[in-house]
Amino acid sequence: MIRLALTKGRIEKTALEYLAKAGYDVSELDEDKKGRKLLFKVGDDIEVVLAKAADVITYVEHGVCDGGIVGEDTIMEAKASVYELLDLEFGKCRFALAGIKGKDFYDGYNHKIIASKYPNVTKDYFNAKGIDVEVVKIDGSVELAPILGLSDAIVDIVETGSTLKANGLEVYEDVAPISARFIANISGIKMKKKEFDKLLSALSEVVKSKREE
Amino acid sequence: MSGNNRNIPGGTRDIMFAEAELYRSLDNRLTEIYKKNGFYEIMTPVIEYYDVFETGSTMGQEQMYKLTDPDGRLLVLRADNTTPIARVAATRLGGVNKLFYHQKVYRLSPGHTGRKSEIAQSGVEILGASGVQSDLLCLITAIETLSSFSDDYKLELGHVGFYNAIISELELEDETAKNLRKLVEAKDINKISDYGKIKKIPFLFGGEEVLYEAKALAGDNKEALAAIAYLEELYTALCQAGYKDKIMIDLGIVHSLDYYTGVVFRGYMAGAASPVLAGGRYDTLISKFNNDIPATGFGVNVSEVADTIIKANRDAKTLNIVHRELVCFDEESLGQALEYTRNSDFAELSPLAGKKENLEYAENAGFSALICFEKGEKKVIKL
Repeated sequence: MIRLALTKGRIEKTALEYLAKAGYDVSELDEDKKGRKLLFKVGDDIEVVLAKAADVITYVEHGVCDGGIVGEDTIMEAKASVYELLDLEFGKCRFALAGIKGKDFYDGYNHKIIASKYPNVTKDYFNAKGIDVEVVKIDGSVELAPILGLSDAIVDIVETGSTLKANGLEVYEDVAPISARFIANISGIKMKKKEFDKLLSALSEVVKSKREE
Repeated sequence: MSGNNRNIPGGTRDIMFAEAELYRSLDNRLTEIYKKNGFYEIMTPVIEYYDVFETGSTMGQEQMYKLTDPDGRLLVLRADNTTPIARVAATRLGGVNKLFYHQKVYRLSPGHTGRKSEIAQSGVEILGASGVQSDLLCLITAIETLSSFSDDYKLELGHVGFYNAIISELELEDETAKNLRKLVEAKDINKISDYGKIKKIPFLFGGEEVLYEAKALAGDNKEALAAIAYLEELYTALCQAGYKDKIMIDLGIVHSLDYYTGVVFRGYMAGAASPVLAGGRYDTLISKFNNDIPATGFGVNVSEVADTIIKANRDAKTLNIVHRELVCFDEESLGQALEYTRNSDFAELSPLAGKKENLEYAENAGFSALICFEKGEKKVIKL
């Protein structure tokens, strides 16, 4: 038996579709059946819990769930020690550096201030570039920060870029691509190798067939 | 400021009663195993000069607790156990030495992650010996250690020589190589797909078959083949000793590559969140302290083992109901009370005076009888 944590919401929906395609019975999680439950049986060898993205990683890192499905954005921000085993290739978007349209971000000597919901991702990105920036954590609409003059730019998830555009902002550069990933506890995968092998090979088949669609 | 005078720092714990007993019994169990294998205990200071860890540890300074000595020099709380032992080996020891320790390490970790900052560790180091025999002795001690925790355990072997040999084919810059290693360590297959052979390495884990896959991957890379051949030698010896179903191979173990120089291994126990044991050969560490001594060893994360055992027993009713007697006495009866207590296996002297207080304490603490010695007279109250 392995216990998986799925990220509630959009990822959950597609993940269940993938699990169903991989031959697992996900009927307990049907919208009309699931009610307020948080723990479900999927076939005979899998138990599924639904959790918020960051919690998926916490549960997997602490080994109370053996594996999980969560976005790369959350993984990059959490810096947890888990195995990242499979790119499920859905929920695709990207981290990008964005700011006021037409401005040259790297121009000038001032210490750059970056607003982001993802301070670790931002720090890592600029550390790798060897640029010292100040990161301000914002919880809501990050786009406001450069507009109000709090920051020089933002690092945020960009899907279509329409929110940026509507607010007079543009992408300066891409930071990293994002998609849903299958993660595993580093001890769990060793102690339950057979179960993981079965699930992972079934899931990679689904990913492959989706790619060909 | 006394805002925190009733709290303890994040990541630390007060450990008492059954949990404290568990920690103590784990240490005792391990001491027995280590001693049987000919290891001697070493104790090092809880504070060391920062320079020691800067020289010997791969840990970042941001993970160390720092303070200063009276001359303003930087000190750190013991951040790992092997580095101080390497310092001792380089400066005070000669020849072959087999040492064991039970010492806590201190690591700063970000708040609210549930990670510990005070970690109980135990382990062994074999200093001044290299080659198959010393590696096998280390591995056997590791296996005996693991099997003392649980029947459901696995020991996983790897060899840093294999990864190093394959990666040197690519002739990468230092920075790229460092990043690549992090990705391999996280088995992050998606980001290493451009690196040819490397992308297979994270999946080189499992049983004996991994050795054959690795050989195929190595091709005519002599160093990589030598690493596999050495692993095979250890694997065959351990199978011969009867541990076949407990041994796994993972050639994707590439953590702390600057530190380890040969065979590396990790121990897993069912229900644990992370490997409970980790170790390997580190032949170049002690030379950083100006004394060239080969070495191998492992550390056990005793805190993780204890947590796992406690988690497994949380639901089971494992509390032993034992007959215990509380003995209270007045000043005239200490002699009788002592005689009674010393001759009984389950009686203990009470720290309280009055009968009422004693009765209340005995009932709350689960004693089965209260024995009172008053003016030389004995009275028994069954509870």
